[in-house]
Amino acid sequence: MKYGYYPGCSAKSTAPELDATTLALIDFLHLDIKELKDWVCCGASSLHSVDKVLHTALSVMTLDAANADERDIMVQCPACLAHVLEAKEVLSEDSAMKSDVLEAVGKQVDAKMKIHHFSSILHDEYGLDKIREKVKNPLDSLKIASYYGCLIVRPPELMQYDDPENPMVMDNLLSACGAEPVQWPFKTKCCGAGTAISDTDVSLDLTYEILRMARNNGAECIAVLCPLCQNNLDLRQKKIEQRYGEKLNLPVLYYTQLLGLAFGLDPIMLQLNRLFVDPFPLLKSKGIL
Amino acid sequence: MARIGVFVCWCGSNIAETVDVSKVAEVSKSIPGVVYSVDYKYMCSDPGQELVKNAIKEHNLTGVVVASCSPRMHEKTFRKAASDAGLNPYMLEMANIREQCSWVHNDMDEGTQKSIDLVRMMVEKVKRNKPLEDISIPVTKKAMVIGGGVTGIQAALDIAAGGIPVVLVEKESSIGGKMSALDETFPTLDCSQCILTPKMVEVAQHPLVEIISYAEIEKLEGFIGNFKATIRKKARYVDVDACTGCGTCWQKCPVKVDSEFEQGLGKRKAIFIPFPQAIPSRPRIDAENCLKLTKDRCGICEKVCPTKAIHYDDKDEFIEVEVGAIVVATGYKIMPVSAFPEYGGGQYLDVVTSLQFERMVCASGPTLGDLKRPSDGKLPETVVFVKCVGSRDPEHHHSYCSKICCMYVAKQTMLYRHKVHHGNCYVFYIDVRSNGKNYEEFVRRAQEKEGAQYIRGRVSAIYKDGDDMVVEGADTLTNSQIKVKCDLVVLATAMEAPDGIKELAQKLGIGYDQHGFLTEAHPKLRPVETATAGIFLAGCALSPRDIPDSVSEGSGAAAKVMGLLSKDTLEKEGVVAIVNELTCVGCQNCIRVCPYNAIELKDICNRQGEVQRQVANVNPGLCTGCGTCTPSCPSRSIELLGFRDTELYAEINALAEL
Repeated sequence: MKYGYYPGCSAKSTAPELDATTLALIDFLHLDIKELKDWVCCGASSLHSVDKVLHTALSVMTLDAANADERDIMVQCPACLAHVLEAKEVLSEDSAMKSDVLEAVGKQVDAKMKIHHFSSILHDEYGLDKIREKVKNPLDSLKIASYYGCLIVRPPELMQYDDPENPMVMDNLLSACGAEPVQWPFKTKCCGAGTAISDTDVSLDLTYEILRMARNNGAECIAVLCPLCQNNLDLRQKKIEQRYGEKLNLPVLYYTQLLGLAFGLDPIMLQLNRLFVDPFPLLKSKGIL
Repeated sequence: MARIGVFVCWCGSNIAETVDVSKVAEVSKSIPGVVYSVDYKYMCSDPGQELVKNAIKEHNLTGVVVASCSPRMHEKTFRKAASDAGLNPYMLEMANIREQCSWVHNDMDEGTQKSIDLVRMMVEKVKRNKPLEDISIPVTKKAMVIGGGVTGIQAALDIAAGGIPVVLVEKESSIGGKMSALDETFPTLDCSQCILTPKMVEVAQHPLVEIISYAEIEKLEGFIGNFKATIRKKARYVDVDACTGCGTCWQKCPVKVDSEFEQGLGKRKAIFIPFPQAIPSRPRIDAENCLKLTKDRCGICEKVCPTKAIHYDDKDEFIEVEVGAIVVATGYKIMPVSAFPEYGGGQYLDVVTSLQFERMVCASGPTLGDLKRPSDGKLPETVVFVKCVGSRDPEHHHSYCSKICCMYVAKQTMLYRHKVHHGNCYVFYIDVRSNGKNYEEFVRRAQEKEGAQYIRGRVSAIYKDGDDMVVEGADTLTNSQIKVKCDLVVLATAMEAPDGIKELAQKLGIGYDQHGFLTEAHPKLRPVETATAGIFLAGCALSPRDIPDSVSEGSGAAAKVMGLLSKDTLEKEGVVAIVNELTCVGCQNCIRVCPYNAIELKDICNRQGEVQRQVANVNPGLCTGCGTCTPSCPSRSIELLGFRDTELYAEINALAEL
């Protein structure tokens, strides 16, 4: 295992707790994962709708950065993951697109590296058994709805993440930490983050449905892996509660924060205090903190 | 010395307009070996044929060339005439100066010259032709039907009605197939059991039908008219002759498992008959769940059996039957809910297949027709039916239409509304395909009189929200997304080729398509035949079909079987491949390319009976004379009679004027 960590722009701006907890887990588990020296923004959700070549070129530059570091790529943000996988696919076949992209980058770039999401690396490479061994502070009886969001599993043939209708990676990881994953039908339903600015009502409706369904299936909190989902479910939860006149009070934590808790890492290092829906009362009531 | 006659046909103006037929006849006289030539307006007419017959006798002809239409058209006619005049029919050849000349050319000079060339080629060939004899094959006057569903039952009954004995082989322990599990049937709503059971009884009691249940085909050898099938009678652990079907054993058996017949909605015992009307009404032991056979405990059935019919040491038994023809009516299976993760993948008890719904409403079903949803027994007030689940979905599942779902969904909405008068039922559909007799009227009745609400669009997701099932989909007529809360969802899942069908097809030497459905010889003109002579197809083994079509095909296949077995011997054209055993090296190229499995290796032994070498050997019963083998032979040791190298080279040389 030798990966270069590609944090993406969210982890370095709106989601610093994802970045911090990722680095904390890498450190705690002694994984050979180092942040790529020269990664670039993938263009996020805007560039690919404007200029496909330039958009792909950005991700190719990140692939090149991995080559320079002689590492495979570990990604945390599902959008970044999709974009570097797409770039890798473009480089793997002869097309006009490929030559345009390489011209924009200005050099030949190999794309032989593996690209995986951090959760897949923990689940498939590090392994659930080893995770179980590391648990010091089990998340006993904590009922968690794992919410994967729409991007990590779509399109399935590109992402190759898990069962696109019912992914289990986070559920298994959290279960290894002693938690009780909740089986619920909205694991990969879209939260509408893409319309959160342009058409907030749509996004609020969709997010409300997700929160409601999680709660109705017995969840006490939600585990996420996507910075945009986290933002939408956590930041807007108060507004949703007002809009629908319903108390939800579901803390929305990154799976890395939950793993960190189980490994006994410091809650402030895990930046639990940065969440909008306060997780401390729940975690205290469960005896986890 | 060859004495060849050339007969040039005008075909009215069909040939004569573009070919100077008199000139062709005239020039033909100068071809060496031709002793007689004539042209005539319609050579195929009675006077035309008389002309040929008389000339054969008068001029003592040894060969005949008829320059007229395609051999496909009239070769048989003229060969019959030649035969009547005492000439071996294979000493007559056709020069096709119509389809391959007059119809495709405009210029009279060129057309005439080409016709002369074609005649010269055939004259050179026929000079080298050798008389051939038709092959006569004895026939076993007995048929085998594989599959005891309604299609196979119909085929067996019709064959037996023609006086021909039938062996009906069924994989399950009872005949009856899928139809025995249905409630009422479209478009007349008559009870499935009520119309099927009499047929089951009839076939069971027919003196010419032997039912071999809980059995599968192990091996098939032989060829048309002369098949030898090895049938594996699977271990039943019950002596069907001693057993009286009293039922004591299955009443006392302590093991309860999900019933396949009830589609998992009800239970059966480890010793069981699948349903009360089963034929034969003899149980079998399910070896995977029987306590005696798995753990050597219990043994109750043996103790209570009044006729000592239980034998725990029963083994598979192999029997051989010789038959002249075979009907394959192996039916279908339907996709399970678990194949559709977007619809819950089987985790929701209240998402059922249409076959499960049949059992839920059927008076003989696990709830005796009292409609209860599986999860909590509640009466479903709202039901959503989803069509084309797995069908017409080439991206994920099957590209084909399962054909019967439109009709049975309309029927099921009616069955539902007849049970729950105030209930709501919604049908998600792509199209409504109701092209059968009284079918469209039936669907209209469901929509207009029986209250089924049809929504055009596909369903994207099905999930559980509290006690309700939620169906999310698109309404493509109003262009809106919709959610329907309901108590029960019925998926009209695709019909698929049954398990093991490819292995069976390989054993029988018949073709199947990419979906596993068996392939007919011609989709329009030979719909119940296979490419292997003597093996016929019927029903859903070919592709999804409804009951009327399946039954018609069962009868159709039976008619083919009776046509075949009505004669004592089969006459076959003498045009078959033949091997020169002196030069054949046994490389097996011909065996590999033969589409009909008509070639095998044969041992060549010395006088002491020791095998010296192996050579190819053609079974003339199976050979269709297709000629695929001849170009595959590196040593030119296999030839097609009637198209031997010497004959074909003579034709080509004649054209090249060598």
